[in-house]
Amino acid sequence: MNTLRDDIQQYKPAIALNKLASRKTLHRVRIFLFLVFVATAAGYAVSYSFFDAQYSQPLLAVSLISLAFWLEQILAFSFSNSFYFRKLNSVLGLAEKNTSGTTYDVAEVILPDQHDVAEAFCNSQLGSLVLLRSGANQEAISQYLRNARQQITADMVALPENEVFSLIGLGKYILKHDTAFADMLAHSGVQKDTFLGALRWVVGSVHQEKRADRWWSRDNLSRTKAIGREWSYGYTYLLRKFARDIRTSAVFSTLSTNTPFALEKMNDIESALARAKEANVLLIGESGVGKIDLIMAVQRRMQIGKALAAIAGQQMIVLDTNLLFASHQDKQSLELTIIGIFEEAVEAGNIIIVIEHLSVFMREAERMGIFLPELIDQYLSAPNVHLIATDTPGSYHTYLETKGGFVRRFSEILIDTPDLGATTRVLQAVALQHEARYEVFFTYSALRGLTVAADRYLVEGVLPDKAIALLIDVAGEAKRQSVTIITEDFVYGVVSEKTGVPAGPISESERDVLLHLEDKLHQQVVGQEVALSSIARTMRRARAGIQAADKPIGSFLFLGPTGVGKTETAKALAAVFFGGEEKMQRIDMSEFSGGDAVVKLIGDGESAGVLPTMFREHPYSVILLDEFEKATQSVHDIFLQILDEGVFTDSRGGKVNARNTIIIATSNAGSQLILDTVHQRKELSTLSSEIIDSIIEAGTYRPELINRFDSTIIFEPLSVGQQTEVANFMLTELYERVQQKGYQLSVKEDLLDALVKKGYNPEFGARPMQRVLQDVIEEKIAQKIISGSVHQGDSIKLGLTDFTPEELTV
Amino acid sequence: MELFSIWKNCLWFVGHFFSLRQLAGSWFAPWKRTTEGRGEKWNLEDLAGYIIINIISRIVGTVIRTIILFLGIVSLLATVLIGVLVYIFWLLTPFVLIGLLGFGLMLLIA
Repeated sequence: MNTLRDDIQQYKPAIALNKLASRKTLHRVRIFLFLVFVATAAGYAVSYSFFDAQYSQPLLAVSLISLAFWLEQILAFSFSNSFYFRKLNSVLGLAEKNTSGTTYDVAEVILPDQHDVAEAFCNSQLGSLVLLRSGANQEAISQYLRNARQQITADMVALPENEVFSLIGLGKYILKHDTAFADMLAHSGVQKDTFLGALRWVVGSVHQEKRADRWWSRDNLSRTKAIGREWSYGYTYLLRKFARDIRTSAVFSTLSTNTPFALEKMNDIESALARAKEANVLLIGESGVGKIDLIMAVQRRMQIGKALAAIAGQQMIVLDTNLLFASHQDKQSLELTIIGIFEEAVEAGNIIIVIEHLSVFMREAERMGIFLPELIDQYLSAPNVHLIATDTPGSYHTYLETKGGFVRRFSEILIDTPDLGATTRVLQAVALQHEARYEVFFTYSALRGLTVAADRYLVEGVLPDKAIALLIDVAGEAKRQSVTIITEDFVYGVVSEKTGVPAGPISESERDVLLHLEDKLHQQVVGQEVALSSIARTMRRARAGIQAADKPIGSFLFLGPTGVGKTETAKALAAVFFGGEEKMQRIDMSEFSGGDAVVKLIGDGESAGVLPTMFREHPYSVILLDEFEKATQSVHDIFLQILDEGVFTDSRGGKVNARNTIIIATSNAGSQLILDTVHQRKELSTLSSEIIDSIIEAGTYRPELINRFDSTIIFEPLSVGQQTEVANFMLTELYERVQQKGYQLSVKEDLLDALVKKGYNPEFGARPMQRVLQDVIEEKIAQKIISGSVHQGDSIKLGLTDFTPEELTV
Repeated sequence: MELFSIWKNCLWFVGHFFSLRQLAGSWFAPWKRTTEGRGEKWNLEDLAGYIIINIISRIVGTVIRTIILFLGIVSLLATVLIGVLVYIFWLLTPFVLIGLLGFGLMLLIA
């Protein structure tokens, strides 16, 4: 059995050499010696020819000696290389056979301290970088190294067979076998996954650097353009004029083409292109998911001869549609050019035409009176010409699909938004590019935070684009605030500031709000203890992150008679969670009871619809769906999806994100039953399931819809005491209004009691109360002001005696 | 061993750079597919044009391809030869190195 200790001995001489002088130093020495050699050799030649060989001998001597040392450096360089790049092919997945053993990096880490593998790892340059990236606490690491613990020696580590033991393997080994190390990470708040992610990131980028350094490898050599490939194919005059080589595409490559996902899609594209006829591809994906990157990756594979034989030697050319439209004023000449381009492609025989945003191109052409499907149909079925088009799912559904047969000429390949893991991997490379520019350092958990936050809280755009944009924002913000290490908390802080939605770890003040949410809501809502505590519980669960992330923040069905505080509760939630009552958006669902309900709600091809507009304009808000039961069944069905997945598709095929909203549907359904229950003095909470059952039985809501809500909250009718409280609330508002006009108002107890008695109506809640206050008190004040019996600065005191019985019976 | 694999990579690169396989496969094909149409109906003039253009196109194609193939094969042979020489030199490097150093020092002292 081969142990770590046995295997790393082979690297000893090379590592000793590199300790003496680093690879960079050796490189500089080599260049210096070569220059000395060239200069002295030239000097020798000049001296020999023109100056009677006056200095020729010493110059020749120095030249020969520097050549000798240069050769010696070449030997040293080759010697170092043969160890430095050992096993790299296997690690990069380029080797044909499985090998075993360690890499140079592992030996470099372990050799200084073979008696304590973990200590060697922590003290090494790469090991400490991994720990720093994973966010481990420096103090905890030193404490761990000082403490007595069971040490793993290099003898104890058995190397796997048929697999190279890289630094990733070493990190995994330590994590698995050294419990003290795992504990240290746990105490620093670093989860195992975070450590492994940081490990893969750091070591992976070292491997990629090495790959780029090794210019003599076949994958690096193959990047050169070959000559003579296209000589057996035809000329493409028009194509060259209106198109460009895809290799000139200025694409910021976001899609890692090494992932299984990308490989699968590349294979799909290749096999579609290799078909005998109708070898056309339509790539459907949101903008920013990397459609052009995929096409370019296929092009690279064709270039290095790794693509399917049937498409070897093909050339990809991107049609410049803007130039095409700009340089043609009339229908006929444009038609001729388009036909010409396709004729040339057929003639040339090796052309793959790439058209970006196919539907935009077709619409533009349509505007000039050209029906593209008819014009190019014959070429799409020809064996010699291939077309790759790209489009977004939205345009595909609303426009291309309606063109029937045309789309059938293409093999459709759907490029999904990459998953969160893939996005984090993309961010790793992007983070390294931006660290130097912004003078910041990203931890791995920050990258994961960026991915999650971009997915969850940023509504516009798709992954990984929006995550990259967020990364750049966060780096800029860190630089402004002079923060050097970017952590997950910092990322969430920036996101919260940007969106206004509390994200990430819960802050002190927010914790206070959440723990006392019931009290906060009670400042605006009278009574409803059961309802408010149920809401508070749900919201706490949501904020603690226990709830699924792919749903709205919270969703409630408020049942109960009118005027009992349902809307007030929604406003209070908007104020607490989004910072203001104006963050509540209301939709009157009774408007969606007709045959055109769905069109009005989510729009048609022409108009955008109420719901998508609302979610797009107010992505962080409380959405109040008033009188939800009055909407049609199909409208309810749309909400089934929104409540379940937090997203829905509008009529134009665009995704609408509802995950950063609290959705509240209010309904009077079951009000009578609630009132009866209260009349019978039964405990409402025990009867809530009975009430819900009766609503389902009545067919108002289907059970699956009710189940989709986080909770169904029943609002009780107000008691007389609560009504007095409500009246007091209303009077406080009135006092303020009157004060603004320059008067002091006070209302005596007896008057208030009489008014509450008059306004009390369990069926209509607080609404009649509002009316009574308006009709009686506001009317009286108005009379006094108009008649001139009070002047600014006076105080108006109103009691029961100030009113005649007639005035009280309005 | 590593020297050998680098040498193999260089040989592969020369083949790739000069597109040897593709050019050999299309050695006598018309130059960039430049040909005349044969015409819809039988017509001696058209047929003659077709044959002549075709032949000229093929000749041009063959000449240019031959030049590149020739350069490619020469480069390939050179790479083979250089590989062998480098290998021999590699074996002799220690002696060459000592010789150069000794000779240089001798010149300096003398």
